[in-house]
Amino acid sequence: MDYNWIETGLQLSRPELLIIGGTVAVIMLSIFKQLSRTFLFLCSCAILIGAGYITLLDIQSYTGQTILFKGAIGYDKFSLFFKMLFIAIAFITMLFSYPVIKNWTSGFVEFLSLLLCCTLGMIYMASSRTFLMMFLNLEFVSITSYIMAGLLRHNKKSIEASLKYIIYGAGSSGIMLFGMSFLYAITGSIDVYTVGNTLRHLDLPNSFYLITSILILAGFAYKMAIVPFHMWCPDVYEGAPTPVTAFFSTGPKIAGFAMMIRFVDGVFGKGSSPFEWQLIFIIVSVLSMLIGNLTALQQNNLKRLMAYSGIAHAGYMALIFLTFTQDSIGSLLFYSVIYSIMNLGAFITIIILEKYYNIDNIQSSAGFAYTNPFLAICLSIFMFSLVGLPPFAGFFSKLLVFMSVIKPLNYLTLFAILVAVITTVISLFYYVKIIGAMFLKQGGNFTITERVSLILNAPMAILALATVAIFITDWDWLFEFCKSCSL
Amino acid sequence: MLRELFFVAASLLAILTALLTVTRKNPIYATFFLISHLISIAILISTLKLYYLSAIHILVYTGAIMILFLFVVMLLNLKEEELEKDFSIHLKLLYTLAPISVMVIIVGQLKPQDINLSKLSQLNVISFENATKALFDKYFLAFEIVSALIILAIIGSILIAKKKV
Repeated sequence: MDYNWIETGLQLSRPELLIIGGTVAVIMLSIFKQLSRTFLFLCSCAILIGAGYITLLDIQSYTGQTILFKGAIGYDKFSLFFKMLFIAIAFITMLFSYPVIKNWTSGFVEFLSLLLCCTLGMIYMASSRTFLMMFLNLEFVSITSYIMAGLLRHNKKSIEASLKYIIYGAGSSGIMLFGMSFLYAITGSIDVYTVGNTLRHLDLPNSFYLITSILILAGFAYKMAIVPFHMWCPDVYEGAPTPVTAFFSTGPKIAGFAMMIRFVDGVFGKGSSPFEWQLIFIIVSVLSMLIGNLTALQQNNLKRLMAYSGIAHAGYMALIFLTFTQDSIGSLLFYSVIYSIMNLGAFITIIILEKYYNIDNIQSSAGFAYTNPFLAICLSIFMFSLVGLPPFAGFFSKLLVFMSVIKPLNYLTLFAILVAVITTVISLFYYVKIIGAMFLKQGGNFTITERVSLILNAPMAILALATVAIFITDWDWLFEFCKSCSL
Repeated sequence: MLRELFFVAASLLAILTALLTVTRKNPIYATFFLISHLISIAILISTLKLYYLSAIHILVYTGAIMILFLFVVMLLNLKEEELEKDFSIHLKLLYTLAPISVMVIIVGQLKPQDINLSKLSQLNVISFENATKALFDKYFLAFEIVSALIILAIIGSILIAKKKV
């Protein structure tokens, strides 16, 4: 028997091995009572830094495509890019969650190990090539998320969030499996590229594609929080602990997009296909932009507002499936980098507001800018960037997505772009509502119990600087890099 | 001939028990009918000569999952008046019509010759030996990920079951 493929597979997946080994090590180390929580936290950070370093070395030197573990996962620049992005997101999340979680009576080690495990699941989601791996890794990320949403056991809202997440998740992944079983019955394969090749030679009715696409979309769209499957999103975001919410709004969402890109690339392929699957994406992305932005207008709670803003952003990202070329995938990768930077930053400000000042809605933040101007300015930068206003990075990410979609100009793309632009203008209102409340209104006295921890302030300042710097400096290299990493 | 007989009997039984499952008000009766439904599905699978799959089906679904179901249902200890609660007629209509319409579209569009039986019949060779070989060969990574998933599940269940909050 030849076992070389296992050896190569394990060699190329050193970051994953480091993460899973580190998770087990952190759980084991937590048995010893002498070890302080700071030590465990530093251990987990070191694991992520190590994994990120290895990935960085790989991504610089590697070009080409390899299929590992007998077709289970693809090892290419696309998966390496997402590996890097997810490790970075997990690292930033871990940093700024420390001041919040260090005082928890239970769930400290669980948070660290679950965050590491979830990163592993997301990495595999972005690189899986078969239905089996896709389903398994989707469940991997989902199960971690269920536990993370319910970490605050004494809080009824947290329990509710966890339960809602489980019920929606179980339902939608069941529907997805049902859809995949049809594709398997027709083609007899679980590899997405083989399925696509076989389907191209068969003459199947369009309604078959329609039904299977919608069924499978249920599972993916639930992770991406796109409109027909977004109902869990606001409740889970509100109930879950805020660092966990920050993680949910970036990591698993982008992982869902990565998996969807590989799935669409395999089954339908770039260029013409027997079925106009782009129509489905027009409907879901237009609905997400409309419902996400219009519902966000009425929100008062900051975390709920961010949930609806996340739904709207998922709608903007889903626009790229209308054209689905190498350029548009590249612009999605660029968008996901910028989106994670500004969304994580916005959530750090929400964490500070919640932890030190007991503010969780817009009304009670009136006049806050006079208490902590630094935080208010950072928050304004993130909010303006989320709208997509010019002096910030969010402008370019939105512009590139719109540009790549509008290239084959026809009525459908024109309609989608029009909706996107109009909803962007609408989104200005609710983001500015927060800034307006902080700067323009007179409010009560905000007393602070302790100084804001440096571990919260520093990442916030760095992310805010990055948002501005990407606009001012030469951002072309980042976009070129993203384009070179697209499928 | 005998196999066709079994096939027809098992499929009729499966439909009947599935209907009984969703119409029972008492969840314990519903669970028992679901168990018999799953057993009849296992018989259906074994008429396709997929004996290993059918054995696993009974082991996993009837043995593990349904017993857990029953356990949770009995643990919840629902009261009489809660069991009497009923859906409105609109919801009942919706819940009946939606799956039926999906089924009609799928069955109407899918021709039997589309289904790739030659590939499916490879499953016939599934034996315990081949299954283990596949597990450590083609599905090696999936197998390893499942083991990581089990660690996760242990962490989660300990977290939920811990007394001290």
